[in-house]
Amino acid sequence: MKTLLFEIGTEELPAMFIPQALDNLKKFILKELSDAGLACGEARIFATPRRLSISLDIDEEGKTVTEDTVGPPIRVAFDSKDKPTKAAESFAQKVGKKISDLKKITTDKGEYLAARVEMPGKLARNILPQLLGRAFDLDFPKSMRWGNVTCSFGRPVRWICAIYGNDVVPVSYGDVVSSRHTRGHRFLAPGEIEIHSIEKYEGLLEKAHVIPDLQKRKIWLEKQVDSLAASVGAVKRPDEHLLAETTCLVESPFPVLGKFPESYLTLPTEVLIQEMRKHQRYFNLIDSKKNLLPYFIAVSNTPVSVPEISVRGYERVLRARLEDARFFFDADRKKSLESRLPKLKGVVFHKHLGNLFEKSERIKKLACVLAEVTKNSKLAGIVSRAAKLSKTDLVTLMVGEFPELQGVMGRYYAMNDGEEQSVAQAIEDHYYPRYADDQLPETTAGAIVGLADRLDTLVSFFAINELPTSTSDPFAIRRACLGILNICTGFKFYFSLSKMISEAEQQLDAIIAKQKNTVRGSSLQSQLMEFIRGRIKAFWINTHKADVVEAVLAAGFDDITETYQRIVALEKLACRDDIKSIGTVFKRVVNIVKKQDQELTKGKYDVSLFVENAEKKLAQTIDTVDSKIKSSLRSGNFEEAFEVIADLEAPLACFFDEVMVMVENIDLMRNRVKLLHAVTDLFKPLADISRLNSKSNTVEQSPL
Amino acid sequence: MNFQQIILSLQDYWAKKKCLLVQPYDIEVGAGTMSPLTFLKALGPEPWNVAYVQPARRPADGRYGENPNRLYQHHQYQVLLKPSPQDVQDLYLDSLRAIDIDPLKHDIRFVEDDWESPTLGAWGLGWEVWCDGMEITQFTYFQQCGGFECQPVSAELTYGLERIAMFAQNIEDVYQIEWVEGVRYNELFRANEFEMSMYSFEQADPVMLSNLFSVYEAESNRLIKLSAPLPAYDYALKCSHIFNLLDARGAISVTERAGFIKRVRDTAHLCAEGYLKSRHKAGWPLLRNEWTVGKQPEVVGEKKASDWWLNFNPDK
Repeated sequence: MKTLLFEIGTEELPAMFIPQALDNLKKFILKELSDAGLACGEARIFATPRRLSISLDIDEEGKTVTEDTVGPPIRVAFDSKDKPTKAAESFAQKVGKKISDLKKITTDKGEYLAARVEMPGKLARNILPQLLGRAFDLDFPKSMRWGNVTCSFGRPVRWICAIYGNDVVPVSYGDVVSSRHTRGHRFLAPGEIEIHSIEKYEGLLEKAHVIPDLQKRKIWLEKQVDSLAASVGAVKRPDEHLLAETTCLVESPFPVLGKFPESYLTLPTEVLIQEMRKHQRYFNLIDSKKNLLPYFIAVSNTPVSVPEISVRGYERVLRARLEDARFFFDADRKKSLESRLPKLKGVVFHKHLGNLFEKSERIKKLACVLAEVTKNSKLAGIVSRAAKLSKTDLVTLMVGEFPELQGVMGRYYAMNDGEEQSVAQAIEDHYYPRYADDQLPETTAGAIVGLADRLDTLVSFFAINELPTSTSDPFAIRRACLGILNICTGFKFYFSLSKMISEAEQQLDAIIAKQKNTVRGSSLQSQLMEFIRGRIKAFWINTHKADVVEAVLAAGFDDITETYQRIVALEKLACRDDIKSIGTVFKRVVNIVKKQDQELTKGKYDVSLFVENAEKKLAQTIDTVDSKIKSSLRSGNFEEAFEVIADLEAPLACFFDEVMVMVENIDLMRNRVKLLHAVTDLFKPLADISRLNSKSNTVEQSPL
Repeated sequence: MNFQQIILSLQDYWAKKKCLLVQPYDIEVGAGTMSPLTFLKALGPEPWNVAYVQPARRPADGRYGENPNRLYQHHQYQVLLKPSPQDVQDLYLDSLRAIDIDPLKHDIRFVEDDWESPTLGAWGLGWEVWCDGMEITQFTYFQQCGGFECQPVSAELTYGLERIAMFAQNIEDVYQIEWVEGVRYNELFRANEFEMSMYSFEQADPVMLSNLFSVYEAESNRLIKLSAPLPAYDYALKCSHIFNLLDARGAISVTERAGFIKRVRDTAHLCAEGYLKSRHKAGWPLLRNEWTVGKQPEVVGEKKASDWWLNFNPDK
C-alpha cells in the first residue's frame, strides 16, 4: 500500500458548503476505488476555507479478478452437428483458451459460450489521474466559473496537491496543474509549502498556522471561546450552528472578547442575538440565569499584532448595527400593528391569490371555524384578533431587515400596542413549526391560527394548480402540510380535514372565481387529499412501520390526529409476537373474499347454514369482537380496539384448518365467504389488516 | 490617510497594474457596477481592466445628514478585471497594503456573499471582505450580466471609500472624515445629504416621476431599435434612478415594485444585447490587444470560455 494525498486548494469556500463537500469528496473517492477493485485503508479528511483534502492508503495493484467473458450464442458457436464454428474458434483465440476449456452459460437472452478468465488487477497509478480529475465534479449549492475557464466549482480552484507514494499524480482542472505543493496561512505563511512526505502534511500545515482537521479546529475554537467567556464570569450562549460555521470560516481560530454598551440590552433579545450571530458571526455571552450580557466573542483568522485594534473594529461595527436596530425598533413602535393593515394590501401573496391583507382575512375566518370544530370556542376572540394581525409585522422596518424575526417582532409590537398577552403570543406562535423538527406553538390559539394559515396556503395553491413537483416546491407546500400534521397531532385537534378543505375553498371564492384554469370542488378535494395522503405516508414512515401506516391509511385519514393514534395503536400491536402472523391470515381472508362475486356474497351470513364447529366458533368470536371494538371506539381507545385481533387468531386458524370454503354446494360456499366478509368488516374503520407484513417491512417511495 | 490620499493611492496602485483609469459616469447610478464601463464591458470575449471612483446615489439610504453611517450618496472605488486573474485575491490584498491596511495588523477575511442586481439582470458569487468585522469591499465574480452569461468571468472589486476612510482615520462619524487636511466631509456633503433626503422623502413628485419613467423607458426602447445601445443604456440608467426615487418616496407598493424592476431589467437586457451585436459586428476589436492584468495562465485540457463567442449569432 502507498498513501495518497489529494488536496483541492481554493479561494475561500462558503462556510456552509464545506462539511457536505468534504463528505461528498470522501464518498466519491472511496466508491471509485472500490469500483476499480483497489483496496484502501481508512480515509482521513481535512478542510479549511481554502482546501478540501483527503489522505488514505491504497493498494498499488488491485486483486486479480476471475470473471466470465461472454462470447457468441451457442446456436452460432456450434453447427448442426455440434461442431465448433469459426465464431467459437475466434472467441477461444481471443481469450487464449482451448475450445474444450470453454463453457456454456445461460443468460436472459439464451445460452452463450463463455470463458472463465483471470483479469489482472488495475494499477493505482494508472487509475488515479482520471479518478482524481473526476473528483472536481462535486455538487455545491451554488457553483461558479472564473477567469477564462469553462469548468466550475464552489469557488475558484487555485492549486491542486496530488501525491501518491512519492510521485505527483498528474491532474489538471481549468488553469491549474497538480504539484506536490500546498499553502499555509494566507498572511502568516505566504508562499508554497512542499510536501516531501505525506505523513508530514498535517504537521507542516499546523506549523504554517493552519489546523486542517475540522474536528480538531472546532474543539480548539470552543475551548478558547469558553475560557474567554469564563474570564468575564460568563458562558457562551449554546449555538452549535454558529460554532460549526465559524470553524469553517477560519483556517486557525483566534477568538477575541469585545463589549457593547449596556444600554442596547433594552432591545429585544432576539434582535441582539440575530445582529451578533447572523450578521457578524459573534458568539453571545450569557450569565448563569441565561440573561444576555453586554459582551461578545469574535473569531479572527489572524493573530493580529495588536488585538485591541481589531477588537475596537469589531465593537464599532456592532455599535453601528445596534444603533440601526434601535432606530428600527423605535420607529416601528410609533405605529400600531393595526394601523399597518392597509399596507398589507400592497404586499402580494401570489399573483393569482391576492395580497396579504386578503390572506389574513381568510386566515381569520378559517381560524374561527377551526376554534369551533376543535372545541376551543372560548378562544375565538383571541384567535380572531391574532389572525387579523398575524402578518402586520412583515411591513415593519425590523422584519424588513431581519426576515427571520417575523412573528417574534409581531409579539413585541403587539405587546407595545397593548394587545392581550395571549394575542401577542399567538402572533408569534402561528409560524411554528418552521421546519421539520422545530418547536410547536406555545399556545392553542397560536396553533389554531397557524393551522388556518397553512390550510389556506395548501388549498390556495392547489386551487390555482401550483403543485409541488418532486424537485421543486417554491411555495413550501410540503412544509406547510408537515406543519399541519405536527400541529394536529401535537395539540390533539380532532376535525374532518375534507370539511375544512371545503371551508377554505369557500373563503377563496372571491379571489379565484374570476380566474381560468382553477381546480375546484370534488377534484380539488381529491387531489389535495391524495397529496396529503402521500405526505402522511412519506413523513410517518420515518418513525413508524411502513406497512402499519399503509394499513391505517387504507381505512381513511380524514381526521389526522385520530389517524395518527390508529397508527400508534396498531404498531404497538404489530410488535407483539403472538400477533405477527395475523397479517398473513387476514391476507388469506381478503384473497378469498376478493375473488368472489361481491354482490352475491354480501350481507349477513346465515347461522343455520353452518356445518362445522369451527364456523360456529368463528361467528361467535366475530360477534364478541365486534361489540368489543365498538365499545373501545366509543371511548376512543384504539389500542384496545386493535387488541381484540388476538381473539380472532385461534378461531381463524381453526377455521382454515377444518373448513373448506370452496365447496361445491354453492349456498354453503357463499355463506362461508360471507362469514369471512364479516371478519374483514370488523376492522374497516380502523385499518386494512391484510396489508400488514409478517416478515419484511419494505419502505415504498412516496409518489410526491 | 485622508480621503483624497486613499483615492490617489488606489489610482496609483491599479494604474501600475495596467488598469485603465477612467472618470465617474455622469448619470445618476446606485453603484459603480451600473456604469457602462462595467456593465457593458463585462459582456463578450474582449479583455477589460478598469478602475474609477463612482459616486453612488441611493435615495432610500438618505438620513438628512443625521446618521453617522448611512448616506444618500457615497463613493465607491470600482475595479473590474476581465478575465479575472489567477492571483486576483493577492492583487486585491496588495491594494489594501497600498492604503495602509496591513493584514498582519487587522483581521482580513473573505466572507461568502452572493451579489444580485435584479434591475440589471446580473448576478455573481464572491465575498464581502471584512476588516476587523467591517465590510470594506464587495468582491464578485460576475456570472451573468444583462441576462447573458459572462464568458470570460470578470472580477469586480467595489471598495466602500467612506468606510475605509472612517476605518483609516479611526472615527465613527462619516461627517468627521478628513477629505484633505482642514476640510471635512461635513462641510462638503452635509447640506447635500439634507437636501437630497428632503427631496427624496418629501418633495419628489410621484406623478411626475412615474411619467418620466415611462418617457425614458420608451426612449430607451426607441433607441435600441435604431441600433444605438449606448444612449439607450443611458435612458435605462435614468429609469433605474427614477425607480429608486419612487421607492424611497414610498410611492411604489410591493406589488408594483416587481413590475418596475422587470421593466428596468428588460431594457437593460436589450441594451446588453445591442452592445454585444455592435461589438460582434466590429469584430471584437479589443481581442487584438495584448492587455491583461495579473497572472493569466493557459487553460489546460479544455476550451477557453471566451471561445463561446466565436459562434455567437446575434440574430438568434
